[in-house]
Amino acid sequence: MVIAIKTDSDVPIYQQIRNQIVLGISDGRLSPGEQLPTVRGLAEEIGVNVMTVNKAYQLLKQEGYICADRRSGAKVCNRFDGSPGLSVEAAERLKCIISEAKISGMSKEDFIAVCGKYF
Amino acid sequence: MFMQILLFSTMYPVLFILYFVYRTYRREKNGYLFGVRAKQEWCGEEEILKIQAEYLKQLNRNFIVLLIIPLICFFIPYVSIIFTIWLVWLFGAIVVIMMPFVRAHRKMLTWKQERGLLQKDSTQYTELKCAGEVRCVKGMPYLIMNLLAGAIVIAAIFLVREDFAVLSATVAMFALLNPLFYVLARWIDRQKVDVISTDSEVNLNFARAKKNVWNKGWLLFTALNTVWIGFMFLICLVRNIEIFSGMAIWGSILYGFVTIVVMGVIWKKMGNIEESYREKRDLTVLADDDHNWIFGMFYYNKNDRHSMVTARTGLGTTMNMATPIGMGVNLFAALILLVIPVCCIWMILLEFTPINLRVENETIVATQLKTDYEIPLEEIISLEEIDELPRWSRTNGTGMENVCKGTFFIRNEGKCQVFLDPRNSMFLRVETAERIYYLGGRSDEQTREVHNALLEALD
Repeated sequence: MVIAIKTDSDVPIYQQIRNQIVLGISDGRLSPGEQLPTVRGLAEEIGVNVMTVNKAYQLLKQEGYICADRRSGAKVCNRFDGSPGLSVEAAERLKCIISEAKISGMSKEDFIAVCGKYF
Repeated sequence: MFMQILLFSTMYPVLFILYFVYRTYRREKNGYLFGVRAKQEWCGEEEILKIQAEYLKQLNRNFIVLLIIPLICFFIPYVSIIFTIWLVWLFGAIVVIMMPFVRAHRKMLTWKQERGLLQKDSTQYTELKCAGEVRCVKGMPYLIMNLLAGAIVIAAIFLVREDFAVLSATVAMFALLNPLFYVLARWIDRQKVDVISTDSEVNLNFARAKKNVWNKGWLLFTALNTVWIGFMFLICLVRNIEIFSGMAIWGSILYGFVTIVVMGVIWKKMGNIEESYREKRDLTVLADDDHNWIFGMFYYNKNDRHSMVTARTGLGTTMNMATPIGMGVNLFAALILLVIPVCCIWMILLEFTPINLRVENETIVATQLKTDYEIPLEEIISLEEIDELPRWSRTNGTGMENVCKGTFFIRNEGKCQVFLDPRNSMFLRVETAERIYYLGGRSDEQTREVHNALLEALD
């Protein structure tokens, strides 16, 4: 799975790593139970500090996307226990995106079509 | 003449290698043309074809000019001038051959800018599935060869005679290359995996194949160096300077030749790997980051912590000059570029400044550019006039056609200090309690004057 990091983006790199892994899980490029690289290995490969990758992994673990322990390292969770639906933060982000689309003059149908494309 | 042939045979081929390598750069490869991110469909455009044709024309013209320049060395009798011309020519050739590429690179950027195609994409693609996984270097074979080389050095220190001491030091210096090869092998092995496709398997296999070739190359260099150290040690044991000199020269030529062959094989294998993965390349994973490439050749990106990246031209890798390692390498290269002209000037001064020997204030003073020796007359035990120099080997110092000075080794006599012009026919052998000196003036007349002054003073 190829991850793309924009070094001049306003989004912090740890957040970009987290987002890319979530995207990978959602589109099936990362399957449940799949082993993720070590923090050091990924940091070396991307060319960032170990702490940056560690932060991204911590976030993913907190959100329940990955399971990590000292012996077997980080893995994509076999099942995601959270209730179906968006978290409060995600719902807020979506609200903001919908508002932007509305202001730009996008119709509801078009917006739903775009959502359908990415879902 | 021997030096002329040696310089010609070692330096002249560099121009041909540079020329043929740069000739290949005129074609689009892996999404790049003249170090600029270029799409394949652009290559048929009339203006691009014009840039390519102009590049080839300029390259051919520069190559012919560079071919002629060194030939003037065959008409110059001075070693220092010949050496200076060759060195200036060598560095000049690197720059002059590169110039058409730089011009073509600029034209390509202008072409892209005029069409609004120039982007400042700072995306870095990373293969997640093989991060930190593709490692080919195993320590054991390197350790064995390092131990072997170390054992040879220890044996050389204890078994090689004093007159070959410099050569046992050379053996030790070559032995130091082995750990350096291991460090380099490990360093390259830990470099980022090239992302050439969205398919992880392709990226993984491509990286594995390339790193495997690198590892085999470094192993071969280490083995070759160990054999060379062993060979040098064995010829030191022969204890015959004629046999040693002959074998050392032929051995080093052979060593150099085999090294070039190994490099050629690595280059070829890398080319084969690149070729076999050409169809599998997916150019959507190529960032359009022309702004990070100086002249399309030198990578400078402060946001990238990788010290080595795949070069846009050729088959190898290049340094990220914004990293501390890249800066260190640049600084080292700049130092070498500064040291070389200083060495050339020093050689010219040595060749064109006559030596001077005189007696003043009860002391023999030998000067050339600086005071080389001062021998108080009261320390002299014996003085002898000689008209033939003994056979000697230089331990350190200068050994030019017009001047020999420094520490030399003479069999049955040991180390001695030399300061003379070997073209003359009268020399002085001066012995003190601590050292033996072989001295001479700028001419036989000056040597005779000093000899007479010494006889008078010593009486």
